[in-house]
Amino acid sequence: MMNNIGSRFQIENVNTLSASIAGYDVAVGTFILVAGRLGEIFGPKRIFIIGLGWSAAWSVIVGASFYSTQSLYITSRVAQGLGAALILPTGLDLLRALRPAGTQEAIIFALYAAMSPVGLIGGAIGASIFDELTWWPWTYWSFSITLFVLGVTGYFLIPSAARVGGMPPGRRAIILELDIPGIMTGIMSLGLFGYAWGQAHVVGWQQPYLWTILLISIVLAAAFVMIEAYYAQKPLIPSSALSLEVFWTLVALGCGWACFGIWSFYTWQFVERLRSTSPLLVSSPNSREDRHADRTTIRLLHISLLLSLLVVLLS
Amino acid sequence: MTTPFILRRVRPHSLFCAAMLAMAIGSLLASTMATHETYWERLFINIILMAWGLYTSVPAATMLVLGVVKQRHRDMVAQLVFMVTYYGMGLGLAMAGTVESNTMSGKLTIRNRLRGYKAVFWTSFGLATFGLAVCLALALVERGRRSVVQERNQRRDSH
Repeated sequence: MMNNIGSRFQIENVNTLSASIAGYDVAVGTFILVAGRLGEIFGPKRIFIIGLGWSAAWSVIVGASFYSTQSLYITSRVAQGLGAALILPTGLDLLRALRPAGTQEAIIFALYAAMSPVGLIGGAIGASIFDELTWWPWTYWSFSITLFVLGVTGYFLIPSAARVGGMPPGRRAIILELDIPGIMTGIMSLGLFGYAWGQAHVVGWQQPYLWTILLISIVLAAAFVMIEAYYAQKPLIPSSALSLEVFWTLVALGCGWACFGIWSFYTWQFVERLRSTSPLLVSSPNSREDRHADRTTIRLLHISLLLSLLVVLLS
Repeated sequence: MTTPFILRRVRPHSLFCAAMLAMAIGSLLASTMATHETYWERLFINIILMAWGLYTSVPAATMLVLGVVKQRHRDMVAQLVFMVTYYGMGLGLAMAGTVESNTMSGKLTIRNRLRGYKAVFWTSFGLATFGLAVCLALALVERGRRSVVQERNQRRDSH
């Protein structure tokens, strides 16, 4: 699918499009903590529905970027990530509030955590199906429709009593409660750091402005740590929660997922490129049998992905 | 999906290590992947390993950190786990982009492309190995702590 998008935007090296995926993930990662805090204050249901609506709206734009350039595509993908960030933590809150009595909280956590890879692989399969049957903007538009339906049903079905605390009185109290200074430094630091790396792929590290952005993000990260440790009354990340053990677990997990992020994009590229790299096919790339063999390979890959999904689900 | 049930029998530390090991082997396979025939077998194992590692790592890590933090920090830490997974995935991909464009320098020929892919897969192998090392260290620390607790309990029992 990435290759189809790449050919639409006339990009020579499709791999620059990995910025759209990377940008989406970085946006989600950056805003999750903030979204959790927002849900705490304004009620998880409200934030959840807003997140669904936001994602639905931006998905329409992602699809419509077919008529525009790749920068709109990448930007709207990043904006889409913001919606996902709003949904994730508030969804967990809602789930726990609705948990049937007697179910262990740990089970809810684990099930919820397991949902993310399920969605990831399900989404990948769905996207390739849409790509085969129609054209790629429909992948995003159908996603948008699904989100819209979910939002409407959610609005009527989810009981709104699941609110954690009351609204703090006054604007100043809200600012303190939200930990606005922490949020600003944290978001900007994470976002700029991710942006510098993503942009480096497109323009190269020889651009001095990238180094400046990287430096700013590091300074902001230091500011964030100081604010959290000494200033904030209700810090986003309380230092008492972040023991060494937690920290290193998170580092290991981050490495694992970085590895997965790379794998998920590049393995598919590797396979889809098979058409041009395989010594079997390269001899006569235009003959009909070769193209047939080519499609079979890709179909086989899809089947194997489905199979492995089943294996994991049933094992 | 099966992870909640496995977790009742296996400690989260061991499971987390296993998940990281699966990812490391998966990316090692990816980096040795060839463009010709034998490739199907490897890719298939690769997909299974990666999918399983992925499925398992998040619940295992969540359980691991939830076991360590205080009750009132649970929500925040659970969110932190998600933050790390997404941010890690995005940043890994963005960094891989830099690796790729530096190693494949020049024209988009097949050989150059392949070199870029290889470099990227080796990078991901490096990341996974580092994660695995951290995991093993964590497991060792945990084991040490448990044996201390056991010893103390035994001493108390003998009194």
